Amino acid sequence: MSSIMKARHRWLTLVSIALVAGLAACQQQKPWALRDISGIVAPLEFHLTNQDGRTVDASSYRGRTVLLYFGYTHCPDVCPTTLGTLALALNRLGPDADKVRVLFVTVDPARDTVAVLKQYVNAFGPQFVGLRGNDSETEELSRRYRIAYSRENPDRQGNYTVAHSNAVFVFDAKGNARLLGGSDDKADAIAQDLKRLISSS
Amino acid sequence: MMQCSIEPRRRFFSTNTLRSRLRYTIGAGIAAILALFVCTAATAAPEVTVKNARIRLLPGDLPLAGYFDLVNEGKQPFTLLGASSPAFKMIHMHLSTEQNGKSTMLTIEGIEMNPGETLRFTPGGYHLMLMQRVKPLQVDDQVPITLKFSGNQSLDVMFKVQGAESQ
Repeated sequence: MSSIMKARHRWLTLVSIALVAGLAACQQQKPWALRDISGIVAPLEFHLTNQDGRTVDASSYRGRTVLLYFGYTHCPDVCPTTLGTLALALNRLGPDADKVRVLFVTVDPARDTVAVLKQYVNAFGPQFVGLRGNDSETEELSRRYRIAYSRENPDRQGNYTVAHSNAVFVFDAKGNARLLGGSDDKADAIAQDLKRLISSS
Repeated sequence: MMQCSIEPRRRFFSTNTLRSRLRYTIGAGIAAILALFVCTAATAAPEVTVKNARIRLLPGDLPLAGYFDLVNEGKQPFTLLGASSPAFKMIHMHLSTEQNGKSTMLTIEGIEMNPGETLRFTPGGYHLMLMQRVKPLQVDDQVPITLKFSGNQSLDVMFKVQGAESQ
């Protein structure tokens, strides 16, 4: 082999190694399907009543990946659509779905009693938890996660809707905020991120 | 919902002669034809197709959402004005939308549809808000809902009840 060819051979080898290494790095830093909020949003912290009437806090869910969502049961479209998408995502996880809890915090504690919440979350699956606080507890928690909500004017029958931010916060098993989802995110994308988060914790 | 059944009148045979019975029959016949004509005019169906009509079931008496795909197959524009159903005391037409970072619902009075146009009532967008069930519903039930259009037109559609996680 001539020295020129040897040099070319060495050069090609170096380029290949660089390419392989580069690809490996790419795979490790593959972006999340949801928005990365690590270090931006406060860790999981709350003190509320669950659908069985028991007082729970963030420590009750340590060791599990937690999805936090604010909504209300009289919401016919957006809330069940979001919770339904999360239920589909959990179905895609198989047995790992048990490592996840979806915490549904009501922004309408006046109508969402413990009993109403229990029926409601049961309709979506065993991983779904209904949480409620009084008005000030709910407000405090919504401020922590910058969730806006407001009760709209009631109609003649006294029915009202509640406008609210439609965000899904994802916390890892240690309670650190990691990802943010919304109503546009599909079940497959959410499942893919949850799998990655579960396997890395 | 418009009732279009024609009640058969009770017959009296006690002292009827053949002639009076004949007169009665002709009279009833004319009345029936008139009634049919009135019914046809009142429920003239627009040239539309509806597909994928479904209701997402939630527990208790929580308001439900009804979704469907509607196509204007005719040559005339029309307006979808709303819906009614014997299964719900109240139905509103809504659009979910985002305002100031919050999801909210707008009440929609009417949606105009041009010939050939498709309108999707779909999660996160347009939906029928179905309130106050007349009786409890179950997954796989078929629920009749009448869609109301401009020009005094309407269309009866069967909606299939699906689970809470359905889209």
